[in-house]
Amino acid sequence: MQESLETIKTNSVKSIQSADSVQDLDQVKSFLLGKKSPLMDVLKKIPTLPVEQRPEIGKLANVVKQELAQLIQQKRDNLIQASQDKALESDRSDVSLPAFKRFNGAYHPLSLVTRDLCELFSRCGFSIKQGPNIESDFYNFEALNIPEHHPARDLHDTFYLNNKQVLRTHTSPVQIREMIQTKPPIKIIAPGKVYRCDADVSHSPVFHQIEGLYVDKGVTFADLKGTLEFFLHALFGKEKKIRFRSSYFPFTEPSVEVDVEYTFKGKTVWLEIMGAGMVQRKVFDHVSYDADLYTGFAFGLGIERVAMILYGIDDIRLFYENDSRFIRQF
Amino acid sequence: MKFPLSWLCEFVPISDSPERLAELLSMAGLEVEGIETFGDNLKGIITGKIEKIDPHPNADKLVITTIFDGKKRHQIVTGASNVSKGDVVPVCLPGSVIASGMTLKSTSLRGVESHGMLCSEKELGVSEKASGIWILPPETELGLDFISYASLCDTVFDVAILPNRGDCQSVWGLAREISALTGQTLALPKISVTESDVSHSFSVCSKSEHCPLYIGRYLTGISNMASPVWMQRRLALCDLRAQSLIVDVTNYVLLETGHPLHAFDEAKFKSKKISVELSKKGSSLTTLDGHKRPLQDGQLLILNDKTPVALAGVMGAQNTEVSDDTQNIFLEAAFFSPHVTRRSATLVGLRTDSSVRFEKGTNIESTDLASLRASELLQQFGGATVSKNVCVHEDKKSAYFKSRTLPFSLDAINYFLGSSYKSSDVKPLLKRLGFTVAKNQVQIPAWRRADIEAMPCIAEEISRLLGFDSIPATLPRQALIQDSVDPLVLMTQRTEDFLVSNGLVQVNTYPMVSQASLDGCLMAVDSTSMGLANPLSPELAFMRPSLLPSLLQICQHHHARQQRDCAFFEVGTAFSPDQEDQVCAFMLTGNFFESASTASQRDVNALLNQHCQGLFSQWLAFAKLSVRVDRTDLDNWAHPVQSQAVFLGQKKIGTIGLIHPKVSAAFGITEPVAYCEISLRACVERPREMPRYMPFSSFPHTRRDMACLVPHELAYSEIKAIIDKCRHKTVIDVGVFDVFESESIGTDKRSIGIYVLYQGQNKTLSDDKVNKIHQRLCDQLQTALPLQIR
Repeated sequence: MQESLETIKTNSVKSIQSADSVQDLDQVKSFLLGKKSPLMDVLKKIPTLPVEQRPEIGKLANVVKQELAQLIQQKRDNLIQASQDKALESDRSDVSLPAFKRFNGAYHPLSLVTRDLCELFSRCGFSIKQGPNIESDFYNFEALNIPEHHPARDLHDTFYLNNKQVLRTHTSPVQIREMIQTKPPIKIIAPGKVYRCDADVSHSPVFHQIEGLYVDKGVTFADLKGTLEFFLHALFGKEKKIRFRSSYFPFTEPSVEVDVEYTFKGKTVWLEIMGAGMVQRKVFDHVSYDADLYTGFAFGLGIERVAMILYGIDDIRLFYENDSRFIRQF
Repeated sequence: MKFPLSWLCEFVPISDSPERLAELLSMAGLEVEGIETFGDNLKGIITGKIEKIDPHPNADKLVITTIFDGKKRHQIVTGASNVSKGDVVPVCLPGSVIASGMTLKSTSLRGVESHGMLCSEKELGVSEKASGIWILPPETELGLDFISYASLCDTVFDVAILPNRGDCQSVWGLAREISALTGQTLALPKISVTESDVSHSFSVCSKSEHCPLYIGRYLTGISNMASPVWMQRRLALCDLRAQSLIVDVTNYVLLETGHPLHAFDEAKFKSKKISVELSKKGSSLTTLDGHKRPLQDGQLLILNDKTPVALAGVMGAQNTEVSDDTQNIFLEAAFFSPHVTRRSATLVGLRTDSSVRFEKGTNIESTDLASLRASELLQQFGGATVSKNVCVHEDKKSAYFKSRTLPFSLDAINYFLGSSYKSSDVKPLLKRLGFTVAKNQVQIPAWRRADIEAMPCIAEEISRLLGFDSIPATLPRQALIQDSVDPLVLMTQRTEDFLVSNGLVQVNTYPMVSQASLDGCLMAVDSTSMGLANPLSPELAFMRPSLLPSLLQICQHHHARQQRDCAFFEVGTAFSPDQEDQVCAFMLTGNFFESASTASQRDVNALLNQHCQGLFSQWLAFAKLSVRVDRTDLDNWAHPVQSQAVFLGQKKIGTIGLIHPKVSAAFGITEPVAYCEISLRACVERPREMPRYMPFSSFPHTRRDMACLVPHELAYSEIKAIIDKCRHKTVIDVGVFDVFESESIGTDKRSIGIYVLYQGQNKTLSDDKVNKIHQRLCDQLQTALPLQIR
């Protein structure tokens, strides 16, 4: 029995070492350690042995079994290692080749700036609202205290549709729509496209504005100043000087233009950034707000203008030419 | 509007520099858009009379003049040919400086000494007119300081007058603002006219509420020669051309007082009856500029008997125009209502110095003052006799005459502005502006009645004059909860994020398109509701019904610039007569991947429509949307085979696939164009469902494949529909793993390999069980559809 175990061991070690692949080794393993293997035959015969020989032979057989299993595991590890080494050695990949990837996407610069502006006002509690591009005369003019044959209409070169509707000349109609729908307090911003039939090369017939409106009890001009100073400092830098210059809009009183001091190529100038003011009482009358109880401020700014300043763009037409070589720069 | 500094200085002392004054005005709402300086080089120009002209002994083109300046005589050689003996001309003597900055010296011209120069308008910086010497009126005093006499040296402010500041459309008005800003005292001139008892039978009558005041003065015996040089000069600085004394005086008074006046030639009147009436459609008049103007209903006319002699407030008629030999005039000073004047001017397409003043509102209370001022000037410079019998129509009950008093509370103003002004800051300021502040009340000056209507208007006056720096900056203290985000705004932002991160470039296009691009896209729009009545160009004449024409134009732009790999998207508005839809559209042409360097990569790149569909279905998953696509209700512009319509419930919300080659060809694009357009508004209109957790199985799934031999006209979607209909509860996934066509299976057929994954929720499914379920599915498919499962 003992000699038989020794022979089995010697033969087994030989066949394990001669295996040259994992599959080969698996076959060897099932031949050496499977149910019908010579080692199993020995183990099966142990009950037939004399009682006193059984422990010794049994122990020896188990030792052989363990040794063989260990050898097989070692051999497996070696074979895997060798095959991995070989695969790596023959890998001819050139990872320096340009990636096979989708082209880079890009946001339109006006979207980026609009988002930034909305985010800044959102921090002050304003929520975003939208309104239609095609408006009635009432929302675009009448309700904003710009009656027909009012000189303020000169400030708006208006596109009309054949059915007498207008393409909104500013985002202010959104104010009216929101106030008609909602009771105060109200704190909204409305970004969007606006239209002026201006044939000038430095003007675009379509451009973008963002409009803000805040109405509550006890809203003051000082609050308007504080809110816009926060906004402009956040946008252009804390060190920038800001000034409020008297102006006129039919829907606000007092009305101001807000300028930011800006330095271009060493030259410091005041840039006109936005218009603002306290909501006109007549506007409140149009939306049935109690003008004795509520006050509010409104403001508006041109998004292209902000984008042109922030990105150093010198021609407004670039925004609408939409050349991808332009858009991808932002 | 132009304002010469010298003129302003007549009424208010100004010590600030022009730049500082411009800043003060601009900050207070009178934006100075330009400052122009004239004649600041000039020095020592005087007037002189040509006493003698002698020929030059050595030159045919030169003459020797003897100039008398009232005290001394000077010999000056000139080459000018327009001078005659007795002419009074501007003279520049040695040591004086002309506009170009050159200092004159005595010199010798072809052997004759010349001690000075006779000046042209150009040499004095007045105009570009260099041919000929400036000949002055013969009565001009000699030896005058011509620079000051003719206002040669002046600074002109170009001020943008806001629509509510009709009162600042005059030198007087702006001088008042300057006085309020600087604290200097305003001193308007005392007017003195000698009135004579000239009788006449003129009568005036206004038959319209839009003319509550009409004043007619009768002036006779005017010598209508050229107006004084300084007056001409000031008119020129304000962009008005000098004509004759009468016309120049009315213009001068218009600029000075803000009141448009009109002088009718009395000799050209048919009768003495002047009336103001509204026009009837179909009538017309020929204005001073020679144009025949057809009239609409409701335009204000001045009638002489029955004949229109002026379009009130806009322009006079040619039939009663003042000419050089006019001696007697009927001088009109009136108030015409702003909106009627504006409408009238708009209807005839004229904007005159008169109409812009009436439409922003003139001061009804000082109308007569302007008439007197003109009379004074015509008397002074034209020897006019002014009749004391003045024709006046005055409707004292008109709202325009009504004075306005408002409650005044500094506390209310401070509460409204967030300021802390004191009475001592505010009251002197308001007084200088013409407001009368009593204890709790403030009386509004006549010239501000149309503008100052309530407390905020007074708050504006105070804050603009004290400067907005005088108000602190605070943040609102009111508690407020921000409104929830508009789902459409959120959907837009998420869609933008998705498409940008998937390699698309966002564009932003005009929502107006041309008829040609609509035709190219096989689209039609309702021209009443979508067509612009006043387009800037045919390129921007219609509101687009879809983003397709816009994106095709962008692709066309890029293809024309050797950029054929396009992947663009836009979130924008598509218009239809009843609504505006916020849609997202993307368009692909050429390669979808960068740097395809191997054959297999190039094969992948060529699958344009698949990339488009892949993006679309990924976006659906990203946006948590479940839609149906099929090939019904396709748009004209969609590819007849390779496109699908997208439905949410029963509503069509978009299109996905290639566009019709005919359409891309119309935009000069010869290769396939893939396109997807989806209504984002429709996507957010449906209520959002809260997802519910579903337990998933931990047991292995079993896969069964079926190779279906199908006729070409049978779409996969039809097979899938049956599979979905018969879907056993153990089916967890169905997909396609192979599609091929070959002659061996017949040219009218293709083979679609479909896999089905089965999985038990609580146990591993037995092969027998899966086989049974799968066989049933195969049988159902073969019964329902003309296909064979191999």
